[in-house]
Order: sequence, then structure tokens, then C-alpha cells
Amino acid sequence: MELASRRGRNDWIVAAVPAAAILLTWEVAAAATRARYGVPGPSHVLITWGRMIADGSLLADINVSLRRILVGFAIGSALGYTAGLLLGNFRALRRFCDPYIHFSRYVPPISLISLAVILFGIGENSKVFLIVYTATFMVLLNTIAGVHAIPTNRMRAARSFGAGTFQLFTHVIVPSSVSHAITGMRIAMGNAFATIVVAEMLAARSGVGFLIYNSYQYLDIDKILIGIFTLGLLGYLADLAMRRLDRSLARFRPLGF
Amino acid sequence: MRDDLLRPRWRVPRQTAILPRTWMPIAVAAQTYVVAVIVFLVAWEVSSRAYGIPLLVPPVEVTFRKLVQLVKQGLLLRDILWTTGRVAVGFFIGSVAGATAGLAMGYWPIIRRMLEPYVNFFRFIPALAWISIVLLLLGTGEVARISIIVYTSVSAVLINTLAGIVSIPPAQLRAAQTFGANQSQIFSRVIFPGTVRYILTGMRLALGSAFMAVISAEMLVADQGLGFLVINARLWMAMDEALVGVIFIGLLGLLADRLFGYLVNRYAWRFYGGTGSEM
Repeated sequence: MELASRRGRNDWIVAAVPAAAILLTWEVAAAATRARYGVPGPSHVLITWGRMIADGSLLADINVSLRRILVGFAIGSALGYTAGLLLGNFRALRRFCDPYIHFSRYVPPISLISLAVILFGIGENSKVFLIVYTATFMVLLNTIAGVHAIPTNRMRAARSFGAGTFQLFTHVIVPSSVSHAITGMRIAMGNAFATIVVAEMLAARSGVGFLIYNSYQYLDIDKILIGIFTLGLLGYLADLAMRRLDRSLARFRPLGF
Repeated sequence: MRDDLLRPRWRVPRQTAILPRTWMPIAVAAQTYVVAVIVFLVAWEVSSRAYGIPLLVPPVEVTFRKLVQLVKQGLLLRDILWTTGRVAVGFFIGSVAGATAGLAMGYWPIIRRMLEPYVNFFRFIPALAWISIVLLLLGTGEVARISIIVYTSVSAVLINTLAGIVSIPPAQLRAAQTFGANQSQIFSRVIFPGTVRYILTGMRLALGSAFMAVISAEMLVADQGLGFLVINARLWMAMDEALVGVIFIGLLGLLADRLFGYLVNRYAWRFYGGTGSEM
């Protein structure tokens, strides 16, 4: 038995075996039954993928989905972080808001789609609203946790060095809670993708979610798969960006904050 | 807590409980919630009047009457039972499968090396993105909806189980080996007990995403369930019905989470080494 998680040099060979087996089986099975079912093989999917990138249709859908996510995510994160700092620091405010927060965090964003569409129309606003909602609560909850995780002695130390309320805020509370807020943003980013897909399936004429659902109606299996994998890729890149952001912000955090 | 320190005058902060979670006396909690509900209802009524279009922002009374009507027709109970049933089945299968797969990956490194890249690839694909493929492969029946829930639960539990296995200190494993434990003993005495709390954390996250997934799946393809209630309300512009649906989705999620936390604290406390489960 291996003790620690050792990473071998030829890990990718081991990992590539099942993938190669699956792809090969899929290709052969698809080729054998093409006349009967018309299920595309992996090579066919790749060709379609290339074609969709070349004619710009895939990029247009990605563009639309990403814009919805980024606008909503930016607004939601800003709202969530501000509110989180306020609620984390003022107990009376938190006690007043606690019941609402505890209730709202269990309402999946997508369940608000009917309300969003009726109130904000079927345009961009309803989709952006859902993402704002998704991001706000995740960032809010994590920021509160971050503020509460600040060791009391750190606050005391700042106080004994003569920090005023404002300095305590800018030099201790904000830098100490940013990391938690970014954790919240990472989770929120994942949830934002989950929300936007369904929102676009239910109430949109564009975006990657619409691509998947629309291709289902035309039985374009290759396009469905391309939509799915594109989403996976975008989600991965977004997560990578969030991790980079956390690391680059860590540089500005003094002394292990 | 924090606002003590924000005051300009230096003051020793009030020491609250040592446990991460402070229990407000029940009376205070009840008071808080009663106040919250009243404030919410008043704000709702005021914004409804201010908006002036009862069809778009229905007053409290109209929504309440809708709720009574839905209860009387038995529709609300039916939808709640469908949604709960789907979540329960999918969550159970998914948790068992996720934990099993995660532990297998922890036990046999070869499986882990084979599967880990795929786990890391598929975790970024939202469950509902698969719906078209699922509908093509499994039809539009119950199996399709439940398999979506299984997918979300598996990924959450699996990722957390793997994190748990990685977190076991190598010194513990070596100590067990030094004391002459064989491979299966190491698994049952060290790896498994050390991973349980991570599995439970994963299950709690999975429960949340299971609700998210079931609502979305019911919105896309179903004839019953709370997701269907909400999406169906949109067709009739029945804001009151949608509001009732949203409120009950929230309550159901809240209840399920609290129940899970209660069960964990009641039966799985021994896996937390006295630190409390924070659930």
C-alpha cells in the first residue's frame, strides 16, 4: 500500500488507458451503427467542434453565457462582500438579518426563474439577476465566516498599537477576510455555471445552455456534447482564474493574514 | 464578537462560548424569527401596494389564499412528496456510490491514478448540462431525473472523500503499520474512520446541490414536484403560486439540512474527535 499520495511520472499513461478504451469503443460502435442510429463518434464530434469554432457560432454562445455570468458575478460578489463585512461586524444587524439569510441560502437560485422572468422580462436582466442572487449569498456567508475567523488577539494587537476603528477595518478586517470571500466566490462561480445552464435552457434564445437544449430538440448529439464539454472547460478556466486571484491577492496580505 | 472591537474605546471583548457555535436561548431565537417574519410580511405588503400591479407582485393575502387553495387541493403535498422522494432516492444512491468510489480510490492507488483526472474533469460540468444526454439515453421518466441527482451527489461526496483520504497524516498510517496492522486493518481502523467526517461534509454539500438539481430537473421535464409547480406558474403568470413554491422549496431545503445536521450530531459525533461537527 502506498502511504502518502505519491505522484508517478507515468500517471498520465495509467489515466489515459480508460479514456482511450472508451473513445475507441465509442468510435467503433458509432461507426458500426451509423446507418441505424446516426450517433456521432468522437472524431465526428471533434470535426463539428472545429467547424463551430471556425464559423464563430460556438464563440458567440460562449460570449453570451460568459457575459451573463461575469456581470451577475461581479455585482453579486461586490454586494455579498459589502454586506458580509457589515453583517460580520455589527451584531445587531446580523441578528436582524440572520433569519432571512438562513432561509434564502436554501432557495436554489433557479427556483426564482419564474419570478425573475415575470418581474425583469425575458431579456438579459432576468438571467443576470439569478447570477447576482447566486453569488451574493455564497460570498456573503463566507465573508461573515471570514470576519468571525479573525483571531481576537489580532484585533487586540492592532488596538494596542493604536489603530483606530477605520485602521482596524482597513488593516485587519478587510485583509483577513478576503481569502474567505474568494473561497465563497469560487463556490459561487461553480453555482453560477449550474444556474446559467438551466436558465438558458428554460428562458433564453442564446448561450451554451440554449445550445445544449436546442441541439437536443434537433437531436444533434455532437452539438450537445460540445456544449457540455465547453461548459466543463469554461468552469475549469474560471476556477483556475479564481485560484490565481487568491494567490495574487495573498501577496498583498502582510504576515500570514 | 467583532463589533465590540470596532468601538473606538478599548474594551475587553465579551467572551462567548468556546464552541464554534453559540446557542441563543430559545426564547431569543423565537423572538428573532417572529420579528423577522412580521417585518418580511409588512415589507412584502408595502412593496406590493407600492408596485400597484397585484398580478406581478401579489399581496400577502392573495398568496396566502393561494397557499390554502393548493393545500386543500392536495397539490402542494403531492409536489412536496415527489420532490422529497426524488431527492431522498438520488441522494442515497449518490452518497453510497460516491463514498464507495472515493474509498476504493483511497484503498487502491492504481484506481485513484486512473480515475482522478476524470473526477477533476467532470466536477466542472454542471449536472443539468447532461440533461439532454440523459433524456436521450434514459427516456423522460423518473430514472432520468433521479440520475441527475445521483450525478451531483456522487461528485460532491467523491471529491470530499478524496480530500479526506489525502488529509490522513502519513505518520498515522506508519504507526498502524509499525503496530503490525495489515492492509485491511489499516483501512478499517485508520483510513475509514479518518475519512467519515469528510464524507459527511460532502453529503451535506450534496444535499444542497441535490435540491438545486431536482428543482432544475423538474422545471425542465416533470409533471409534478415543486420545480414543476414554480415553472408551471410562469405559464399562467401566477406569481402567487410561484411564490408559494419558492417558499416551500426554501423550507424543504432548510428542514433537510437541519435534519441531516441533527442526525450527524446524534450518531456520528465520535468521528469528530470532540471538536463538534459544526452542522
